Amino acid sequence: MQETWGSKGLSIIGVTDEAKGDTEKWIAAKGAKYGYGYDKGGALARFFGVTGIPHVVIVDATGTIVYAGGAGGYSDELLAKATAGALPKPLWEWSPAAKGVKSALLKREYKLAIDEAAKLGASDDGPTIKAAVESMVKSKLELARSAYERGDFLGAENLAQALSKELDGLPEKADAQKIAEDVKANAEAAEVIKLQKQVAKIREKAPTKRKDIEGALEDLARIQKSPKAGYAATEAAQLVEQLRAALKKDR
Amino acid sequence: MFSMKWLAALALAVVGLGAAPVHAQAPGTKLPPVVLEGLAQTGAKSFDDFLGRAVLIEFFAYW
Repeated sequence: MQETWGSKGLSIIGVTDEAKGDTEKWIAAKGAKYGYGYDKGGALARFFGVTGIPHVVIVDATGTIVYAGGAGGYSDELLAKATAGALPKPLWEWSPAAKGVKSALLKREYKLAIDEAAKLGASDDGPTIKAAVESMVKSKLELARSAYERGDFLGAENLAQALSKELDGLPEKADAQKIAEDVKANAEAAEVIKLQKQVAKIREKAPTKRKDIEGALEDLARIQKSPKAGYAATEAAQLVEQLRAALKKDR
Repeated sequence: MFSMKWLAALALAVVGLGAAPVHAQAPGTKLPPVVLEGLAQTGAKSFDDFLGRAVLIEFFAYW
């Protein structure tokens, strides 16, 4: 899989919260060659709501979760979408000469990253890296735009505000600002955002006790019934499904 | 990296992980800062090094 998708922009990483010694022995015995790391305390597993193994999460090149579920539940089409605009080589495989680009990218300073990439020659993959960074910028903008178009005003606002800073000095900054302005100007957005924040708050609380879950379900039902809920109702419905599954498992 | 045989083996080893979580993140959510310790068999020194890449994260256990 890494051979097929690695050069298209996909990295694979195994994650475990098990003990290092036992894991290393097991990896060695299996002859597994993949990269892996330790999720000490299981914080990442909890964030993703991992209930069984194997559990796969796929994050696209913009850092957005595009899949979470079983190992066989995603398609090549989804991987193709996830890798759109992704860097063909991971940062650690870049030429040492590209350290300026790497540093700028880690600071999310995209103009500087593009400028630094433009200084690199073909032997240091300069044109490829420059094109990849430009593609990242486009993908991020597209993400904000599509969030706005599906009515995810909170997501669009957050992305557009972050991009307005990250794209400083690039012409695309104006596009990001336009999306943020569109959210502000949209008569429906304020109420949807208010309700989206309520859903997010319930999700962050991560209720585990039956009584708390039932209370959260009531709050979510109220949000779903609101005539102005828009995309917040969709998010509420997703969370309701998860909470009901938790209640079912608790029986 | 991940072979189909390996994935198949994992698929057969479906196991529960304990208390039911209730805050599984839906597609569309931004990935928060990820801290992974002891990264091995990869050139990445931290999860940040995956910046700009699509990442397939596979939760596994040795047992």
